[in-house]
Amino acid sequence: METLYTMKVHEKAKIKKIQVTDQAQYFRLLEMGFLLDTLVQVKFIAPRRKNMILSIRDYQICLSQGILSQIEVEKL
Amino acid sequence: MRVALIGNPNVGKSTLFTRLTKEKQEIGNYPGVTIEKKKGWMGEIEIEDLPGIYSLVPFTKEEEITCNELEREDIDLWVQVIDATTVERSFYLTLSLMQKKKDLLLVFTSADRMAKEGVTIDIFAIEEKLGISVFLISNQETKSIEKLKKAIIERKYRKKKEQKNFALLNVKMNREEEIKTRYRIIETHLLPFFKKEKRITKSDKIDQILLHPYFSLFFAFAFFLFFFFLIFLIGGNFTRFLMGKWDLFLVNLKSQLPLTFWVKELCVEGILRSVGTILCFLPELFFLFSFLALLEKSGYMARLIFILDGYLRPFSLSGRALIPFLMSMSCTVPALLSTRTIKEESERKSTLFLTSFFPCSAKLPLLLFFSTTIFKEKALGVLVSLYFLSFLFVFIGASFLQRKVFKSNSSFLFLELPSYQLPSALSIFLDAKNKCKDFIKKVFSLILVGSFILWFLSSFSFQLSYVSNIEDSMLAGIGKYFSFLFRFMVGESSWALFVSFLEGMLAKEQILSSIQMLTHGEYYLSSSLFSFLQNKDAGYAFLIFLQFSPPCIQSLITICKELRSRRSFFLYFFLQLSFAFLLSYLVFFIGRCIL
Repeated sequence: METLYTMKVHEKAKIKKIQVTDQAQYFRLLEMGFLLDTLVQVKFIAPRRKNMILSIRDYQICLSQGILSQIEVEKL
Repeated sequence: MRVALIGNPNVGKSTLFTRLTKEKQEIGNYPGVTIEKKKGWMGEIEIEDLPGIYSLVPFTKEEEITCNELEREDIDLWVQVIDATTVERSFYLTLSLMQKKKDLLLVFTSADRMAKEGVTIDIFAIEEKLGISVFLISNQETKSIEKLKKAIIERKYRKKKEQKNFALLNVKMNREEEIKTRYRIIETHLLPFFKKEKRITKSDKIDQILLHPYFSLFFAFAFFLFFFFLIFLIGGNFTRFLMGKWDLFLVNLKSQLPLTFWVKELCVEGILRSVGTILCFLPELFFLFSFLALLEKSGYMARLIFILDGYLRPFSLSGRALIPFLMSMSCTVPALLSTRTIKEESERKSTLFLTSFFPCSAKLPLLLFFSTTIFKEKALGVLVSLYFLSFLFVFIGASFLQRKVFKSNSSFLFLELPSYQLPSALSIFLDAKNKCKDFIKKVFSLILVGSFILWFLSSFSFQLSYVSNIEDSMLAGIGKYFSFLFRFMVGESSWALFVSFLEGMLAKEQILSSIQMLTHGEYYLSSSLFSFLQNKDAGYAFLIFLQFSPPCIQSLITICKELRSRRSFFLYFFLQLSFAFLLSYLVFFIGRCIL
């Protein structure tokens, strides 16, 4: 399964699984709307590919490599 | 009556706060933490601008504060601020707040941006659905604000008993189910009243340029340069101009005051000079706070963090830390104050600890003078190596402090990107003004006391008689007592060096003149001190000490106040002083072995 970290700019995907082990981070992601089958799109990738800006629901969020690689997605 | 402004970060709470309270506001800190507390008044009504939250389960220290404040019984009304162009996460918070059964009012901001971004909201339908009064306000016109003010003052809004049972989470469910259920409610019951066309917004267009994969770093550094130019060239020159005028005033005052010599010295050198130093700093600080507010409110700060974070994350720092580090090369005081933009407490502390590792504009001429005197044509290489060491030890120090001392595990970035906005001049002005006021309030008395103590030590002997020659003063006595610390490097004149460093605590610029005075003007190569420094190992060790030694008293007091803990301050002072000594000793002994 692919993760958000492997996606390229402008690619869209649906969230399939969140494997974040830290409970606080996991629930924060859920509260921010990272729920099953939610649509995400990669908007920008930071220099050195350390962070990404994603468009999710009606807003944009910047997440770091550590979290991105723990969110499994299905590319559209 | 007490009102709390609640909402997600960057939804326009502070702008609304400024528009409701105008100039009647003050900034403080929540007890025990460095998080800003903004309080203001709208007539008799007290309004508190709470730090942004996403839910009632706190994730950060700021959110914890807000959640604690929301538990207070004496708050009569909650006003939730929602950016009309991004509503989903805000509705999540609305449903959480409704569960608490308190008088709640929703204010949708950015009405002016709605048309441009193709957004329509049926606020009447939302009002009916939730049973909560809803207001739509624009940043451009005052009519909607007046309507909101009137509703709050006259308490003409729907009360808690009218709220619909939307929270419906009375049923026992776990947190994950609770979150999913809330989003289902939002999607089925509230989002149908919210329409957003797919359009490329102005923010998207700006981002295409500023976040360009190849040029984003270039724009970030261009911005920093511009920031530097405005704060330190314009603000700094203004500060220097004021200091010049103040000095002139003091000289005239000294000659005209009909008092005995030492009383005159006490008034002028002990008190008025430090008062002037603090007040003359204000233009620079005002520029700094204005630009930090502009950076934060415009939305570019979040982008800067996104661009720079990857470079600093390996050292457990976020992109925000780069601002104080770069600013410290000009003046440490504003650099220390700019750490307020760092949200994570341990990261902020680490940055405060390390900011003075970079040579400020007062240390730079000293480094230049000594490196030219000692190393002659190799001076430039020596200076470059000193800067290299600064960066090296800042990054090593940050990793050490974050991982070992503060035990932070913040290895992730989680940041919402707000749309670009042009903040109002009034909100920036008020923000900067209040922060300057807060700074003066915090440090004025301490700097005054500190400066007075240093003046007293350098003007009186141990027999408490006034001395005209600093060599006979208590400060010189203390310097002589501790002179062994430098003796191996500079021999018998080490006490002069130590005293100069102590005097330099008032202002680093004084170190050179103090050394010259204490070595009876035999400076340059003739005095014993400088001839000792002619040894390259001693000279370089001396430069290292000069660079890494603790900063001036103004900076020390600012650090103390910003750390808000005496224990942390003493830890900082101990670490910085011992590091400066250890590194200079190490350089000296290694140099001695090699050369």
